[in-house]
Amino acid sequence: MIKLFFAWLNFGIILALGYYVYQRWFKAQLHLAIQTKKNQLQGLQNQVGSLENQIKELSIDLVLQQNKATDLVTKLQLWQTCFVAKQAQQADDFEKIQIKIEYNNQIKLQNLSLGLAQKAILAETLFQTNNLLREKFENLDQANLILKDALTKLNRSAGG
Amino acid sequence: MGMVNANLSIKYAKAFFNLYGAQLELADFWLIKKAATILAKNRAVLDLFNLHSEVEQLNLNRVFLKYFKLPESFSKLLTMLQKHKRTFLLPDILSEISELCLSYNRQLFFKLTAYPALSEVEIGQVIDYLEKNTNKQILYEYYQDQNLIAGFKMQSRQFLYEDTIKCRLQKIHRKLVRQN
Repeated sequence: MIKLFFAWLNFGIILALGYYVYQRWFKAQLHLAIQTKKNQLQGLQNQVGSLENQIKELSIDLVLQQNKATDLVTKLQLWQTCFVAKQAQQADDFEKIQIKIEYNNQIKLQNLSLGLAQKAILAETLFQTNNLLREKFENLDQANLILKDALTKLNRSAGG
Repeated sequence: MGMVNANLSIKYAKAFFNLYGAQLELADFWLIKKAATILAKNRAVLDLFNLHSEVEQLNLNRVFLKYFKLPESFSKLLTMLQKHKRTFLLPDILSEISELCLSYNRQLFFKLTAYPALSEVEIGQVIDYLEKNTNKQILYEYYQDQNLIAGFKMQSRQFLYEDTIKCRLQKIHRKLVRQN
């Protein structure tokens, strides 16, 4: 009976010891796992922090870019306004120049036709004068006078 | 005549004159000048030279030289022009040769035109004037031209002297045109 009692006692002590060792081992393992997970969590938290920082930077950049884009849009609108105004002015100027050119061309044409008419009159006058003089100098006495005069001039220049 | 053809004519004329220039006499000058004038006015005649047979070419050259009474030395020039199909240059070459003759003999050619007619003495006076002023012997052709109205005109390649009613009228006309 006593043996059985001790046997059960030994078995109980061994069981208690085993349970105790198992509990220690299990706690150690759990602690290790918790530590690992904690480390992983810390790493992830760090990554999240870094990503948050990046997001912040990007959002700052985005704001800056948005500001720039707004500036550019404003400038573009301003330039567009200027361009349209300038185009309108240029069209106005062009029209004015065209009117001036047309006016000048008209004057030139008038002058040209006037000049041509004058030239035609002069040519006609020359032709008629030529004919009149030819008729007049058919009288050889007068023609001879001119010829002698020309020869006298030639002789004078030869003498000079 | 284009610049290229003009230069070519001058080259042919100079080459011919270098070879045969010394043999040419005053009578030849007049014959060359006459031939140049006639051919320049009747350029279509030059198409006759474009024959294929050499015998025909030689015969035609003989007839040509005989008609214009040109020296035999021109036969070689004609043959060469026919060979290179440049007979159309002949009037200009002859004209250049006549100019080279003048230059070689220190002479100048003038076309003297007048209305009414100049007497022999008056022509003499005009020629004396030209000889004194150019220091060269003057060769001339004299024409009477009623288109001048009255007065006389002397013209060479380089010089022009004109004292006529026609010229005075043209000067007045030009002045009036410029003023307008």
